Amino acid sequence: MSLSNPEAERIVRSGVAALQRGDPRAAAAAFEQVAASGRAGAPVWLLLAHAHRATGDAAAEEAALDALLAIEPGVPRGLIMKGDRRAAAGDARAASSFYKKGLNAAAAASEPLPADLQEKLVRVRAWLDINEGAYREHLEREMAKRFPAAGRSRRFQQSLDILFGEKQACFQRPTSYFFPELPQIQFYERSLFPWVEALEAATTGIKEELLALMRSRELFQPYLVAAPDRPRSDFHGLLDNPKWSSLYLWENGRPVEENAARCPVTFAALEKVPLPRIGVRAPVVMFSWLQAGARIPPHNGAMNARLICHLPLIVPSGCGFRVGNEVRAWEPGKLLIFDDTIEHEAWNDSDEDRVVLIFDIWRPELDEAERAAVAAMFEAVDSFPGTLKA
Amino acid sequence: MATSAAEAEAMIRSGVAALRAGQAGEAIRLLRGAAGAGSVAPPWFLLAQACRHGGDGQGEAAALDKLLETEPRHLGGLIMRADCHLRAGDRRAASSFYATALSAAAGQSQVSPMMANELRRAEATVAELERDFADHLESTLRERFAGGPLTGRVATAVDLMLGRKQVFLQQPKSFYFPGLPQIEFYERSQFPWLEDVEAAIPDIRAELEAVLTEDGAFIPYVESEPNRPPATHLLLNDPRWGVFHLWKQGAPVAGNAERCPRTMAALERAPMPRIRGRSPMALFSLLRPGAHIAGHNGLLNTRLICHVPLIVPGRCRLRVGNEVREWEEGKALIFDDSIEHEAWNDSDSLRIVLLFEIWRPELDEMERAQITALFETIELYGGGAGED
Repeated sequence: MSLSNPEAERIVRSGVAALQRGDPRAAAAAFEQVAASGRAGAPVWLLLAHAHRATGDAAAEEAALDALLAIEPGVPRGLIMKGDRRAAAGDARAASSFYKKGLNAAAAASEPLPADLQEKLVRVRAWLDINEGAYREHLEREMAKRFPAAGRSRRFQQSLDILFGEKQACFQRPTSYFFPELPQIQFYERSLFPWVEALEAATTGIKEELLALMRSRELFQPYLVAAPDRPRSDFHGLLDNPKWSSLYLWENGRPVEENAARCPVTFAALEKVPLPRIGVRAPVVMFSWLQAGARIPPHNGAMNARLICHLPLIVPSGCGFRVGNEVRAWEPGKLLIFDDTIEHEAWNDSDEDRVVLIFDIWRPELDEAERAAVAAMFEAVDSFPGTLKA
Repeated sequence: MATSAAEAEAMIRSGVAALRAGQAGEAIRLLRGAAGAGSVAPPWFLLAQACRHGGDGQGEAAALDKLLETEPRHLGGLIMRADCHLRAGDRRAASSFYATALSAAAGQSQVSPMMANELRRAEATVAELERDFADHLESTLRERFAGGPLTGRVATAVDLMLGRKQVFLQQPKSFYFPGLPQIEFYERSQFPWLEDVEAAIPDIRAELEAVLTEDGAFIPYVESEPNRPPATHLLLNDPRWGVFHLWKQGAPVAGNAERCPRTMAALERAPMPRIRGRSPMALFSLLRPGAHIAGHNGLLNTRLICHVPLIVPGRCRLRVGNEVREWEEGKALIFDDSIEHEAWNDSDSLRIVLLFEIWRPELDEMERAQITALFETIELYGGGAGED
C-alpha cells in the first residue's frame, strides 16, 4: 500500500499520540502501516520497536530493531534495545557485542545524552561487568576441569592472564638495536642453561670477594655518569648519583685488570658462562649496589641480542624487580635471567643496601653464525670515525 | 680585585660591541673577564661566539660546555657544540648533539628565522652523517663477510638500525599467546607436509575450476552476521573479495566440501587445529582485479595462515609486516596473520588461493591441547566477550 508524504506523517503522529496515551497496540499498528508502505526511516523503526516492547511482543520488537540497524547501524538506543532482546533470549554473547557497540556509539555522540538514555547506559555497564565476571568464572571452572592450573604451561597461563586483562602483553623495545624474530620472553628459566648450577655454587666465594671490595667504598662509582662529549641527559636524578653505583669486572669488552686481581673466584666462576664478545660493548660484568630506599625507574636496554643475568648476593627484604608484566624477588644465590629490552624496573624499599652481580650472555636463540655477524656489525659500528659513547 | 655587577655588565656590552666590530680578540678578553667576575650570570654563549670568530676552537668548546651544564637544552649552544665536535672529527658526538637540539626544538612552538635556518642545517648534517654511517657499515660488513651479503635475521637487524625497515609485532585482536617468536613469513623447509599438499595442486585446481563455472558459488569474504553489530570493514558485502568455504567453524561446509573431495583430502596432510566450533578453517579466497585488502591484524597468534596459490595472474602481492612477497603458482606462503598484513591484486584478472590455518610449530602438544580446551570453553559459553 502506498502512502503520500502527508499521509505517512499524519499516521506517524497518530502513532506517537497513541504511545503517549498508553495505547501501544494502536501505536504499533500505525507504525506498521508506515513500515508496510516502505516509507519508514530509522526514527519510525525505533518508534515501532518501542511500541512492540510496550506490548510485550519481543519477536516483533527485534524485527523492527534489525530493520533500524540495517539502515543506521550506529543508533545507540537501537543497539542497546537489540542487546536487551539478545540478553533476554539467553544469547549473552550477542548481547555483549551489541551493548559494547551501543556504549561506544553513545560515547561518540556529539550532543549531551537524554537522562533516560544515560540511565540505560549505567544499567548496560553493570550488565557487562556481571557478564564479564560470569564469563570468566565459566572459563576458569571449565579449564580447571580439563587442565588444572598446576598442569598448565607457563606461557599458556600467561595467555589467560592477558585474556582476562590481569596482565599486559609486553614487547622488546631496545633503545638502539633490534634483532628481529626473537620470542618475547621476560624471564628465562634457569633450567635452560647448563652453566647455571656451577655459577650458583660459587655464590659464597663471590660474596666474600664482594664484601672485601665493599670495605673500600670509593671503588664503586655511580652507575650513570655524565659523558663529557655527549649532551647531558639525566635519568630521574640517578646521573652521577651514588644511590645506584657499580664496580666493573669487565668493562668495554675487556677485564678490568685490578679488579680481576681482587676477584679471582668470581672471574673463575664466570669462565663457563657464554659471555658475549662484542668489541668494546660486551662482556659487561659488574657488582651493582643499590642503596637503601633507591629506585631505578622503568627503562629499556639498548640491544636484544643478549640477555642480562643477576646473581643476587646481598638482598634485604623489601626489594623488588619487575620485567614486563612479572615481578620476581632476588633470592641470594639464585640467578635471574631476563630480557632487559623489555621494560623493567627495580626498587630497594628496605633500609639496607642491595648488591647483585650483573653480567650479560648471548641470547640462546642466536646461532654461532648470527653471533659472529652481530659482533662484526657492532665492530663496524664502533669503527665509524668518532669516539664511542660506551 | 673583585669586579662589581655594574662593571661586569659594562664589560659584556663592550664585548658585544667589539664582536660586532670584528675585534674577536678584544671581545674574548672582555667576555672572559665578565664570565670570571662572579657578580653576573657568565655570558658563556657570547663568549663561545667570540671564540668561534676568533678561531679559538678549544675556548669555544669550553664555553659551550659551561653553558650546557646549566642550560642543557640551549638550542644555539647544542648546535655550536655539535659543530665543534664535527670540526674535531668526532662525527658521532656531533650527531648526538645535533639530534638533541632537534628534539629540544621539536618541543618549542616558535623559533626565530635564524634558528630555523640553523635547525635545517643540523637536520641536513644529521642526515649526511647517517648516510656516511650506513656506507661505512655496509662496506665494512662486505669486507668481513666476503662470502656474500648478510642474510636472514642479521640483515633485517641492519635494515632496522638504518631505519629502512620498522619493527612489526604480533597484535592479534582477540587472543595473545606470549613468548612466541615474531616471524612474518615462515620458510617452507620447516613444513615437510607442504610437499604433499602442493603435489595435489592440479587436482585442487580442477575442483576449483568446476566451482568457478557456477554463478554465486563465491560469496563476499566479509559479510554481516545476524545477531552481531554490522562489521565496519571497507570490503563488507563486497564481491571483490570473495570466498568459497570448505571448512568453517570446525566442520566441513555442506554442499561445498562434497564438490572438492580431493582438496579436502589434501588438507588432511596439514596440521590443522581441531577446535570444536572454530577450527579447521579452510577456503578458496578470491581477489578480483584492482582489489586491495587494507592492512589489518588477525584474531589469534596461536595459528599460522597458509596460502596455496592456485590462480595468480602476476602483479599480485602480499605484505606481512616489513616484507612483501608475490604469490607464485604452486608455491605455498606461510605467514603470521596476527602481524599487520595487506594484499593487492593490481592485475586485470582473478587471483585465487587455497587458504587454511595450521598450528604454530612453536606450540607443543600440551599447549595445543590447552588452547583447544580454552577455545572450546569459550565457544560453550552463551555469554562472554563476544569476540569472535
